Amino acid sequence: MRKKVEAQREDLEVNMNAFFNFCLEGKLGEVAVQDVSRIWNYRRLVFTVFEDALSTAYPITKSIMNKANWIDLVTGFMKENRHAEKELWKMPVELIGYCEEFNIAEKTGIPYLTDLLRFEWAETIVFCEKDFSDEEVERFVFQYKGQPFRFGPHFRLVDSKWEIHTSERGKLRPTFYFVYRNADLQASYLIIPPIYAYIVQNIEILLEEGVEKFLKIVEFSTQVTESELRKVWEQFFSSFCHLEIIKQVNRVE
Amino acid sequence: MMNCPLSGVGLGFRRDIADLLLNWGDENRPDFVELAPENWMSLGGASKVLLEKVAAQYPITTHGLSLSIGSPDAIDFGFLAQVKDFLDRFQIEHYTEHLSFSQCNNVHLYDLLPVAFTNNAVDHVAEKVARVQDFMKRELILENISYYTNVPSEMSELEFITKIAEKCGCGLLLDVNNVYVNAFNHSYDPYAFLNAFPLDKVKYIHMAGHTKVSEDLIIDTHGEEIIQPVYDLLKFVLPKLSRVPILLERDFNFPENPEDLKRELEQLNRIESEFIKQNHHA
Repeated sequence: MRKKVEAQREDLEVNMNAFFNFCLEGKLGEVAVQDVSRIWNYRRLVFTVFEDALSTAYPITKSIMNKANWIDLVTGFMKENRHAEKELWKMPVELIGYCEEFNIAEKTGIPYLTDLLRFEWAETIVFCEKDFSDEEVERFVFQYKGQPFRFGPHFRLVDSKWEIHTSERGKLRPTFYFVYRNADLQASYLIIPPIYAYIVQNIEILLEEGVEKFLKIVEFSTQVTESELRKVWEQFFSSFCHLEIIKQVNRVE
Repeated sequence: MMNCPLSGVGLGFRRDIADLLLNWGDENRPDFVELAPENWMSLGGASKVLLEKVAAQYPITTHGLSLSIGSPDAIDFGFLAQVKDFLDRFQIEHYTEHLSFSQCNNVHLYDLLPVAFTNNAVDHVAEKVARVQDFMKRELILENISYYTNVPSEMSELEFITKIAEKCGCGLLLDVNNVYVNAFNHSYDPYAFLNAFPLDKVKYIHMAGHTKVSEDLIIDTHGEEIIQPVYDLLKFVLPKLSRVPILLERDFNFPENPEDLKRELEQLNRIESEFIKQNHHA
């Protein structure tokens, strides 16, 4: 009796799997349903969910692709990727890994595709990600000239081999995009010079060690003179303060 | 933030209608709003601010999408913990979800598939419901979903839902539009279905519009106005229930004129008021 129940449960699971996989892959295979023509509605509905989420996360990518390539991208992603993210809004991040694994940039003739996806996802994540707790924000505080300042804290640095967000999109030119949540809580970006990118890449050292020690470490590892570095830092500090990416912290005693 | 046991007629909260909700005025104002916890619980920034503004004006309830209670996969307690935090934060009494599956082998589909109507499935769902309710410290309320094709089954949809309600000790969310859609698609009488439905377990009602895509098929889109036969089903079933909250679900294709949406709420309010009046006189 128990064996019979287990066998029934296995059959049920096999059919659930087949139905589920059909929705993602579009191949009927072993699916057992009463009306085969109607099962295609599930495939269409699931496609719409994926297409809608990907269009929302990657509007620029969609706009530069022809329709057939975009549909191929969505259907290929549905079929080949193991969709591990439970929350729908986070699902599109997995498109980046899929495009890298299956070399979609080359297949679509858009060599900067992966960099563009990374840029667009950075915009989504800085806009959406959970606010940091007070304790977490404290990790972004550093001292400068005797005053406490906070860096960010919602930002991403996108290191692209290509121009991806200007009229010169697709030009092979290393570009650093600093994507951040602005004072109005919207996603903004700056194109920053390599030395600024170096500071952002090593921001944890600055936060831990303080500005003076940080500049000495940078001087040692980049061979840039101390006076030049200090000038760069002042410019960086001033422009990031202006955009409220660096903000003075008002301590309430 | 405001919350208390829900009553009256609510409206699904979608970003497209956020401004409308925040500037509604007094006339036919929704009594509460409903949202999917997965779409909000891990968001910060502008989305969090928006949610807080809405929560300051309306009682909130939730309707989950990702529990996948019918799935062969194990329960994801990490995910449930996040949902529980969210429900606790907004003091939400029940955890409402779908009697469906959307996950297999830890792969997610982001859409709801029907569970086969079998005794094994009843046992499987019952086992999971008990564990979910125990963890969430609140009653789970499962919705009858719309489905477009039958998978191999041992019983009817009605028998399946009845067995689930009896065996699982959970509540039911009666989606009246889904009853209409399924009755049309699978050629049964929706009134007979409602007469035999375990109505004593119903804690919440959903109303929505749908789209007829062919002569013999309707898709539950939530993208159109509620049609009269669905209102008629509501009028039929309400006197058989104790008073429960009613929700208008609209997910997209919002009317250009907000008055159209307000009129739908007005219609639902009128039906509900009539029901209360009749009950009061009875």
